[in-house]
Amino acid sequence: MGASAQPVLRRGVGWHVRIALLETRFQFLSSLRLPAFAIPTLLFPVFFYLFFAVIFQSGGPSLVAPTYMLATYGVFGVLGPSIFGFGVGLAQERDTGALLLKRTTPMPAGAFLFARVATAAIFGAVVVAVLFLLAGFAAGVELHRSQWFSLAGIILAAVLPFSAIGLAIGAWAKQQAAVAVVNLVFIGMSLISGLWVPIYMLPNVMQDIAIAFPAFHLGQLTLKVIDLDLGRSVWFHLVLLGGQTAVCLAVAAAGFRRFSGR
Amino acid sequence: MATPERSPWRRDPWIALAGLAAFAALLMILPVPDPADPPGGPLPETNFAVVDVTVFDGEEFRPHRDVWVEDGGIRAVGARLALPDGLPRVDGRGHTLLPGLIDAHTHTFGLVLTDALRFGVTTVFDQFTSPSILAQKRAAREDLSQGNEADLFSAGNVATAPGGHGTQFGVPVETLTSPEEAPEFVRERKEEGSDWIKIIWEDGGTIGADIPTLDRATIAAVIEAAHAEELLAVIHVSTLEHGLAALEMGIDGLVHVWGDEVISEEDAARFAEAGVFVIPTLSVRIAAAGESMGPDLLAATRPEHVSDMQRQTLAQTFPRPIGTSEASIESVRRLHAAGVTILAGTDAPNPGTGFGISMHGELRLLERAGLSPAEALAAATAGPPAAFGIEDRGRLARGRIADLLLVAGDLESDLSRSMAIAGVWKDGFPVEAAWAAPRQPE
Repeated sequence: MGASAQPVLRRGVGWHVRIALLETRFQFLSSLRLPAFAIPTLLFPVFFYLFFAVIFQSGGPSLVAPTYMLATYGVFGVLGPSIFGFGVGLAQERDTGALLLKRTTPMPAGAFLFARVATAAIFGAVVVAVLFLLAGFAAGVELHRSQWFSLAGIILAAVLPFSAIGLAIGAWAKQQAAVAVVNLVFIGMSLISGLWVPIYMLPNVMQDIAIAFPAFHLGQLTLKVIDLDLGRSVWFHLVLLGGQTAVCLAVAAAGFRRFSGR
Repeated sequence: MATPERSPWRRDPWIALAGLAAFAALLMILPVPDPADPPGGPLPETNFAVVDVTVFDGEEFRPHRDVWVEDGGIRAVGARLALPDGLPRVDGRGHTLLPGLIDAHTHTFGLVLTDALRFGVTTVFDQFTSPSILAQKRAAREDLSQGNEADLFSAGNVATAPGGHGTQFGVPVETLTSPEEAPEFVRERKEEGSDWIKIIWEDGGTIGADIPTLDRATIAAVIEAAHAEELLAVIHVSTLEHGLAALEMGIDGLVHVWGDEVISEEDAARFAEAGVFVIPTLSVRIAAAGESMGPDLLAATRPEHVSDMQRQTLAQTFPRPIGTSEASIESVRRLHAAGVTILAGTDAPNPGTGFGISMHGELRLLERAGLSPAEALAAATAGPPAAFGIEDRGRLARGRIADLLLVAGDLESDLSRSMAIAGVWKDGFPVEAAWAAPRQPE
């Protein structure tokens, strides 16, 4: 490590950036090399969109469905990498002792969290890119430039609240249990939040319950960009989403305190 | 390979930037709407005038009129209006301009409201759909901004018996079994967003089946409860006998004409006296009797305007004939002659009908039942809102919303010209066929 020792020892802003990017690189590569993570998170939303919005709607009467599903499957596309990366990955590292090992290195906790969030965002960005290409060039969806950017922005920002959910699960659940819990949240929350089937097609009771889930609010915020949401205000969604994220972070913090034995 | 440990972190910032740039580049190449097309670009010009056009105002034809549309509504209708310079004008010579059509009997599932709009049907009165869509559609119909769907008014959840007609479609239905439940049932519908109450009286007799149905006491109680809540009560019947019985119970309207026998002139007069309106749904009645208007309608329209769903439902047939076309059409003739209000409705998307497109068939069927072109068009424009107590639409007059249908030709002399659609406007926005039309499979 002789040659790289010099820059690494200076702990300025540059040091933090470099170590965060390095950790991201390794986190990303290790995720990419884990087919059980990479394949479902990349292919699930893409195949769903391809089937329901492109093939199923081909020759259909309008572009409402492909446009609508672009927003909801986009959110679904970042949900996977976010909660699997944190929920399962973290539980695994904790139970195998890898987390403890990392804590003994000089790497700051911030770099560790950044790397996981960034990895989820990279996977999310790949999904968004493929979905947008399918929508724009296969399904015929046309949006204003500002709408394309807003959609991409909100969808990628969804990585943060979803990572908080993953963090809460990963902080508490055991490695094997985490897989089940994450899958339950992944599928259950997607369905009830209207990411798979438009929310207005669900029974009223389910629409009411959906308000309790971050994915619902993110779905509505993306749908608002294309004017297909249920019509509640942006603040309604942002406030509830913020509150729900805060709860997840508090739950996660409690879990880590327990793990640290403090 | 000189400094393998160093290279990763030196490259990382560039890889990150390159990734961001690639992502932004992707967002820059995605398709945007042509500024000339309505859904995209700057908002289309919604202030305009159709000049020197034959107007059907909801009751009668008035030649050489100008119609001034402003901010989603009709600002003025008259001969030689003093229109401001620079107001975009549509040349109406040789054309007929009428209020957007209103289908008074539909069922709303999937993308049917877009199908409707393409055929000039700008509002539908739904007679049973999932209550879960009502809140959204109520908001949509108040909203004059650009949309790509017809407006919806609906009965929502129908009043039917457990296992009765209406429960077989997979949509969860709240049922009732006794007169005592009626007031609570009606209150729940009102809270849920039903615009009126629709009752099902269907024992399956006309198809030789035995279907559970509400008893007479419960039907009467639902009608009474609806009136107590200041809602209209309409009823599905399939026999003349049930229609007459519903009349005695104080029903406001029938959503089908029967197909089993021709009504007598005396009985028709009773309907007129009671002020009960009838939505005969001849489109579905003749389909049930084994006739089909599908080929005629498809021949008269541009294939690219017909969605797969419209084509499919038009081609569907009933498993076995129910009633006869003549019993239905002759009954409508007598009801109309007696002065009963007849409203146009198709019961789309039931077998043999297509959402939107079948309204043009219904107009011709009403003509076959003795209505003049103006009377048939009134049944499809001013009639339904008047019967259901809705103020803002159905007429081409100052202050009404600018839901418009422009057809090439003179409808007064040839009602079949209704399919020669030259333009449709919803809330003043042009409905471009290219926007809403189905894309053709390769």
